[in-house]
Amino acid sequence: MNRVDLALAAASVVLLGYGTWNGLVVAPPDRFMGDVSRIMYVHVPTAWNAMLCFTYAFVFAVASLLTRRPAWDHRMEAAVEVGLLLGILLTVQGSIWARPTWGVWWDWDPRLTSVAVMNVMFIGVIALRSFVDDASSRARWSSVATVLAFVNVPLVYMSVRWWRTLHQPPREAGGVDPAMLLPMWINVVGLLFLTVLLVRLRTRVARASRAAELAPPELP
Amino acid sequence: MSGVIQGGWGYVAGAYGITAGVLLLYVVWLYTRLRTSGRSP
Repeated sequence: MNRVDLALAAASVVLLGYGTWNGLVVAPPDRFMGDVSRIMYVHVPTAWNAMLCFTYAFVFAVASLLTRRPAWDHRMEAAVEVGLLLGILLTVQGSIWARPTWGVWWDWDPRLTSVAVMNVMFIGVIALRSFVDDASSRARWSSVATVLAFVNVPLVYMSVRWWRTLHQPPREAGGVDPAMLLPMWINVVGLLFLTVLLVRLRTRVARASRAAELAPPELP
Repeated sequence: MSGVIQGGWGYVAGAYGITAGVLLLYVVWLYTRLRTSGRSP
């Protein structure tokens, strides 16, 4: 790990620690949801960073298709995997929140369904990469798959605005107690730093794997 | 207050615990992969 990595790690630990303490101890309970609302201080930052990570993946995929440089493919591989990790965590957190508030662990509400589709599509991208042996074909086909999978991401974002069903729409910032907004924003930034760090580290893993693929076999 | 959900700290602990645990495991996995990648065949 270099200095930038260490700075990102330190900043994310400090911010996430402070934001979580604020969210669990300092922020008041919600008028209707009570203490269960504290899940929002980890759920919303995870959701925003998952979608941001898939946006990185989309940009890297387009760059990979246009330039054919392996560096963009490594970054895309990293961003897809980290985005999917956050997407799965987002789904689990949402399910835990749904049980006490909606009375069910899961509902085929448009927001939940579009998130599930998003996760499955990016699982498909990772699966596709594992099926293609040739590195340049793998980069090309998985870039196309990433661009196609990304089409669903804006749909996830807009789903609560277009279809008013079980999942509540975002609240206007002016109607929220500042003591509740503070941990949300601190955790958004803290998780952003952690996400960038994870993508950087995972990119190096991808680069090392590609180098190992291209290395000549050892002589007996 | 009527209508407010009572308790719920178990759900809060579950959401935060799973998130922290999974992210920590992923960091350890990445670090291990980076440490061993130089020695991969």
